[in-house]
Amino acid sequence: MFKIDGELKEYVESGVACLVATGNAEGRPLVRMGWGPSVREDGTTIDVYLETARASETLANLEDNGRIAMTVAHPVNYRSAQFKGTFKSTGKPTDEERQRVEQHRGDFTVSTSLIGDPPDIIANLWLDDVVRISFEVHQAFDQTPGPEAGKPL
Amino acid sequence: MTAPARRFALTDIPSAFEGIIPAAIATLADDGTPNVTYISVVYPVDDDHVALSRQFFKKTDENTIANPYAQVLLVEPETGRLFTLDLVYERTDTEGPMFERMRTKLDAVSAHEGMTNVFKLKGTDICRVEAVMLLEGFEDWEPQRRDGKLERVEEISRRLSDAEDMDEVLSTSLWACTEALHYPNAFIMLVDESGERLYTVASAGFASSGAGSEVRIGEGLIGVAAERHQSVRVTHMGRELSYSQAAQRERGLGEQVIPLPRLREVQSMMVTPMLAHRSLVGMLCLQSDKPGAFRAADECAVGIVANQIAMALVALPAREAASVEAEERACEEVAVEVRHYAEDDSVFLDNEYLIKGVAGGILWRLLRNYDETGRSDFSNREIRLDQTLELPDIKDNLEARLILLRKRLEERCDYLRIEKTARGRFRLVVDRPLNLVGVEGGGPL
Repeated sequence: MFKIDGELKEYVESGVACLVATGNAEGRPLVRMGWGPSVREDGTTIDVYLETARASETLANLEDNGRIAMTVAHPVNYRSAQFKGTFKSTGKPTDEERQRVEQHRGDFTVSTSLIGDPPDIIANLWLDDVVRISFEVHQAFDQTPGPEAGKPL
Repeated sequence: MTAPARRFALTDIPSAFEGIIPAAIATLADDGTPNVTYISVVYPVDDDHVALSRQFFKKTDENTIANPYAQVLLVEPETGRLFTLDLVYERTDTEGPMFERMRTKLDAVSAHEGMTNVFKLKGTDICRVEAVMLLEGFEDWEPQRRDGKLERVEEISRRLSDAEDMDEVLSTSLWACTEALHYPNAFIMLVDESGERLYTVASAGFASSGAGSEVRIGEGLIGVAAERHQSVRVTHMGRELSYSQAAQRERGLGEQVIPLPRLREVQSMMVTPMLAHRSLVGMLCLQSDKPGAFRAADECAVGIVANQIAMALVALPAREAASVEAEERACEEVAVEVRHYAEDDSVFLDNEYLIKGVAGGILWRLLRNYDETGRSDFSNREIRLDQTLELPDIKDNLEARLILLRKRLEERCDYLRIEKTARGRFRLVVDRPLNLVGVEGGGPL
């Protein structure tokens, strides 16, 4: 079990790019963008949201084996971290959670526009309707490019 | 209404491989634990293979050996459409053209920020592509329009072959970049007499021309590309440099006597070696304030043009003519102090640096001749034959230095200039009295 501290939680919930990976029974990996990553009060559970229309294979993989990895990377300074753990639950987001996803998408648009990405193109990356995925974090790794990449946090 | 086709070919999405928006890769460990990270470079190799950069990510490397399957997520930058590539790892190359191309790009980007060995490329992973799929949610799709730049290369080639001297080759080259190919911000660097440096001889579209600015071959983005005879495209300066800064803290870039031409908000850069008979003649450098301004098709067109320029430069005949006597009188004004330091041939006008090296030596010789005899018309031939200048045995070098000298004078003062009068002849125009001060030792540079 890995406990996420306040500083790391703040970073995870900032305008980062977010990726969610799973794998199926045939050993095929799957990657999708995630939105609104947030750390629960317990410091060990992360909620992340995938577009419903793009989430079916991810959810099938999670139902099958429960293994999940999530990487967040800040577009401006490239600080990156990866969290690995096991699937806990899925569900429709509440209004508050939808607001959180909207907030993250806005922050992500700001951080990508700071390095020159057109906001209208960035807005094409997502679909409105999302589904929540919750997972328990077992391990976390520094993923920032460089010789330290891959070291446990 | 039928659902849109979601299966694509690699050739359908060329811009997704430009690295403008980074790609992600997911792999699985042998126990099925996923791993996901961003990846610097994904290049298509052929219709059903891609090459991935193998740099920092040990886990990805371990996983692809244990389980050859990987999935890459790509973004098409002009639409934001998301594609997945289902890959099967085949091998890792540590040499060959694809490896060299990727290595040069990564080294050049880190060298741009004064960093070395940050992106040490361990290898390129060659993967077979099983499927290219468009993610759900992108119903409208229009084919990308074909770029017509290659068609314009023919006219550029013809104009370059008609150029009669270096001045025309350079002006035609800038015309080719700015007018024919629509790259408004371009500069040309030539290899100097030592073969160790490049100097800027012509530019267009910059607030400051940068004429005379220098780069050591092997250093910085341009120098690394020049050393390896490889073109380098940076499609997103903001992202690629922040990436490099994440990997290592920036080091000082060192003092430059004259700054290189540079846009204030440069977002894309492409530097292309100008090669003739496998030798480096110079570098053609393009910048843009827009991300993704230079694509693979641009690299192809500019690569051809750059080599055409190189061939035109080395083919220039040594055109000489006898000098014609004439005189220009300087106006009666306060004398300008022209100080020349013999050690490095640097020249200062009223304590302001003007130029050094061969061009500085040429100017000093002209000014002394003017001062002692009143002559103002000169020929390239007599300069070339002047042993004291120690001109290297490169036939186009003199013309390049004269052009550089002319541009520097145009930029730095309004009382001293060089005008071309005929083929192989030029005039030194002096509008103010000069006080020539020769110093035997080294200057302040």
